[in-house]
Amino acid sequence: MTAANKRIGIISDFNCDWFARLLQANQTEPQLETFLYPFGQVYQSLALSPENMEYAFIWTRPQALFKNFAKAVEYCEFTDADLMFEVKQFAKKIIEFSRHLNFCFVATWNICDLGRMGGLLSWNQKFGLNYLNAKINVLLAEEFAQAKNIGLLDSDSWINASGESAYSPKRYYSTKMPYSNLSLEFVINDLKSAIHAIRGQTKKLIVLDLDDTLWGGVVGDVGQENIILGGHHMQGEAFVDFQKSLKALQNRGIQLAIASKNNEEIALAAIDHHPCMQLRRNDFVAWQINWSDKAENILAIASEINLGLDAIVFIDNDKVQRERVREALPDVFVPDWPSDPLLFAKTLMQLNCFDQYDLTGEDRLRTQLHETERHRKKSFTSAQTMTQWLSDLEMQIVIENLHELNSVRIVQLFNKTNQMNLTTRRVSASTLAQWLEDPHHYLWAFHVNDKFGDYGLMGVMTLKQYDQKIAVTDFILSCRVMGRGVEQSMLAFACEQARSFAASAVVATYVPTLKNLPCLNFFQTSGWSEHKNYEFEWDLTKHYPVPEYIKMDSDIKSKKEALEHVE
Amino acid sequence: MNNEQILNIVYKTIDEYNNLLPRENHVSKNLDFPVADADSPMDSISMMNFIVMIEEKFAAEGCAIVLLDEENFQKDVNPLASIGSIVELISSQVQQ
Repeated sequence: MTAANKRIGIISDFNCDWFARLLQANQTEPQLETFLYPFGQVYQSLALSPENMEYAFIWTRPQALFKNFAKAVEYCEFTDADLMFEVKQFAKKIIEFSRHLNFCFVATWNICDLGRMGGLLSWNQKFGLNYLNAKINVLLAEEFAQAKNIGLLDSDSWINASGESAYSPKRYYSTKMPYSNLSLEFVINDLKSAIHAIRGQTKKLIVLDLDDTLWGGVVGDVGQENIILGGHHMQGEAFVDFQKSLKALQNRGIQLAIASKNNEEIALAAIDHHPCMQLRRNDFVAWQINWSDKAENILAIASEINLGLDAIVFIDNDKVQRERVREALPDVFVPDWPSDPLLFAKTLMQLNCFDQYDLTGEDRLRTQLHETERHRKKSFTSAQTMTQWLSDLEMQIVIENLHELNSVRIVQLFNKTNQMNLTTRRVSASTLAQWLEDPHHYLWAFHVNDKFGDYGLMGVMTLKQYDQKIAVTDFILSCRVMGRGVEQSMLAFACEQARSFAASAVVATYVPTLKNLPCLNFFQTSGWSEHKNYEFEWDLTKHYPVPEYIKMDSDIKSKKEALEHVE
Repeated sequence: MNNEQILNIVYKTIDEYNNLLPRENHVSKNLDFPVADADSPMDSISMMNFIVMIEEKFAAEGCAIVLLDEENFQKDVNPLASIGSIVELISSQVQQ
């Protein structure tokens, strides 16, 4: 356990001591230090202010929390409205408790420990415990809908995955922990995946093999008309479903690429024309279809779309290729893959490396944005100079405050951006909301578009006032628009804002990480003077220009208006 | 099921238990290792979970045994006191 390990508080009506030990001993990232609140004292624990704690995990059973649910379990008279009131009060306590946390995870209620609940009666709207449990879970989700730093973890998935052994009466009566070790293992995996998700560490790209992975057979040998895909064929249907699962991930912003040992023309013809293909050429952001080493091809894809290897998942039915990539590119995640295509879709959907906290407009349009970028780059080859090309793009930057509609994307940029990131400070939505309330803390978001289309929200900058100076505290720009003058425009905007505060200078301190060298390179060529320890400064007696080819526009509300928007 | 097979399953459980926890909390594959005993390095939560794991392991092998019984803790000589005594208790139940 190191000082860097994040602390997680565990609140439960049952004894989570054993679970806390397993969670703390678990060596997968992120490693956590657990703090256990006394069990059975849920409301008392929620009344305390969490100190030095990054996260909390609240795991309870409804019959232990709510008097009216306990009555329902005994089939005694209870009042539905009173139960809903109890749930709302509980949610309110959690929202209050979570104000001081980065994130609070709440397990949905599950009543597997109650056994089989009366057959048909279980979904009866008056007495059914399954019906009632579903109803209070829905209410809980609704109560948390506006809370940016609270998320529900689906306990049904742990119970279903653990099968019959999920609930262990032996454990419950001996230690007051109702769930088996196997269930606890699933909880730990889910919790850690959720932490990855809120930190923006979700995998971003799936690189796929083609033959016997996306379809059955070797297209180069049998021709596209004879590959196994679709039709009244078990494997054919399974390949179609696998492609549909990939498409679903793509709609969540996970991009797809191809690394295949094949003839490019033949393979692309199958992708373009086979009637049962669910994925077409424009669903892939990049492809390397040739006879070269797959590890080299994955490197080429990563370079082409400017993505770190640790954001990539490689799927191939061939064990030898998987081993080769694992060995050559240890940062790439290469899941074990079944040889039976009937299991492909299930295996894909069981991977927890794609877990997300929310979906933004940018996520849903990511592949389309890459397609646009391909057209943009194509236009570069016909331009005579870089400046000419940038000028031809007709770029426009719209500056926005933090508000309800862009807050998820802003949190994503804070937590996902590595290269053009001044301090690589990771923040939660609740922290953003706190900054808004601080009269000396300012945040702006930069939305970029050009004649080819909308890039989406690409940059974030925060400023803080210190005496006569304004400090750039965060300077973040997506790699998709790096090197196109947006960086200079953001600094020009910072200078303009600083001038309105009657500051004499704007300063920025670069904090080095393994990945943010491009940010240092930019500041060192930005024209700002560099002092010791990576401190940069712009004297406001001088004007800092926006590149001529960029049009700046703003949709900035007053701080008060913006605050009302977020709340 | 003979004593060797029983010991084998208990040792497999010890491996699984040790995989879950840091080295300082490991259980030794030693018949004298104290479990439900005043000298045991295990606290009650660890001890209870360890014993439940043994029961579950035997159940998975198709052999139902009951170790966690309040009576065992009230006996003058606790049959759960050490790995060795647990193996003996299991053996007696399996033979019945």
